[in-house]
Amino acid sequence: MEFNFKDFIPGFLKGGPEQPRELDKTKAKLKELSETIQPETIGEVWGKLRPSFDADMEELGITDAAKKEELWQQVRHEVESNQLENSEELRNVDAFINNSQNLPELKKIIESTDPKAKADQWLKSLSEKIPGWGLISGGIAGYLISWAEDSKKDGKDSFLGSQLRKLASWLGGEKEKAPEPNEAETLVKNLSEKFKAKGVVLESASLASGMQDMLKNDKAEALGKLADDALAPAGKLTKLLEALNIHRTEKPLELRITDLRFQKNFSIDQINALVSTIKGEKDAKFQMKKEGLLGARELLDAALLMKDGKMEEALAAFKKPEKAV
Amino acid sequence: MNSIEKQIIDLINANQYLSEDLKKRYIVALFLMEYEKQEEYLKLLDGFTRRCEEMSRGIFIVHPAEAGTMLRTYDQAKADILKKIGNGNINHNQPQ
Repeated sequence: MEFNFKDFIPGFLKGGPEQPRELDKTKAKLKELSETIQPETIGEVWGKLRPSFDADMEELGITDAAKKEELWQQVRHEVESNQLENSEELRNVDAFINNSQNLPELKKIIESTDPKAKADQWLKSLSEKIPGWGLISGGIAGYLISWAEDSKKDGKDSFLGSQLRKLASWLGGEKEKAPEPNEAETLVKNLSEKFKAKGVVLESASLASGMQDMLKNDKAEALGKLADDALAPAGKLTKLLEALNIHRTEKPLELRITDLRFQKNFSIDQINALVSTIKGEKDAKFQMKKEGLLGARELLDAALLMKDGKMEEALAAFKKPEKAV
Repeated sequence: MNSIEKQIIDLINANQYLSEDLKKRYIVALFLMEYEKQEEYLKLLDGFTRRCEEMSRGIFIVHPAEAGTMLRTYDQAKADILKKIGNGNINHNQPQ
């Protein structure tokens, strides 16, 4: 088992000069135990530690049994709680709920034409499931804001955080507070402007949404590079797709495409056609790349044609490089 | 409420290590998910619950990569305890 108690316990024992009052005997005993105790039996630390803790209490002049017991329970509780807060299992839970991909209902509310009504509807369904919750809409907004605060990165709202704040504001938690600009929005805006400067308009920001998904998962650097590359004459969307590939290697291609939110503007049949086309392209990808024929512009043209329902033309445009090979 | 939602809410509410704020957050998150996601969520929460049970039996698991975090953790715990002693107006020896 990967465990080394003495690796970290000396830090607990050290104490800074600003803290002259120490639990010296407790610490000394901890140090001794840390050198002998096995991870499976680490619980025994408590039993062996107690006499030293009692000695410290005596030295500190704390004789009241109830007070001593309270402090001892606090030692145990704090150490246990802090250990759990840092546990892999809790981190997994947090990572799961901090990934907005796992919160489709939130997305539905945010993207609704009437988000306020949608949020109220959501709250109503919540109160039907848990009686009483509808009465604490302000409270729920508070929990959402606290969640947004905890998901901040470098002091700035994450993509999820900004969404949670929006939901909170519709539930009455924050009064018309301007959403904090987040890294994703800024970068996507810059990127879109660069595309625009090259005469390429990202309709409905469907691709921009995909980029936001990347950003909120710490792929800012990749996207920053992508933004710079957007001024390059070719390869724009190819790079985007490649970046998405790097980002989500564990996800099937269909999901990556869905992430790009083509479904917002395209029918299922159209998405399937795009996916199968891209899949067909996959084998030829390296060859086409080598030949410099992997056409980003053609892909974008195809996407825009698809949006207009011109499927045959779209597929023809998309397959152009392949034909060239 | 479906059976998975009920299981999840019961798991969350029964966990003595979770703060009220976290309990509410996890429950709110549950109702922003679809059924398939809820199943995965249940598995993760179940994993955490098992970890809590181990902890209550005194089983500590610390990965070397976490040693730094644990250093701060124990320092924090110690500082909190000392602060509490100070706030309790307990008559103890003066520093130095």
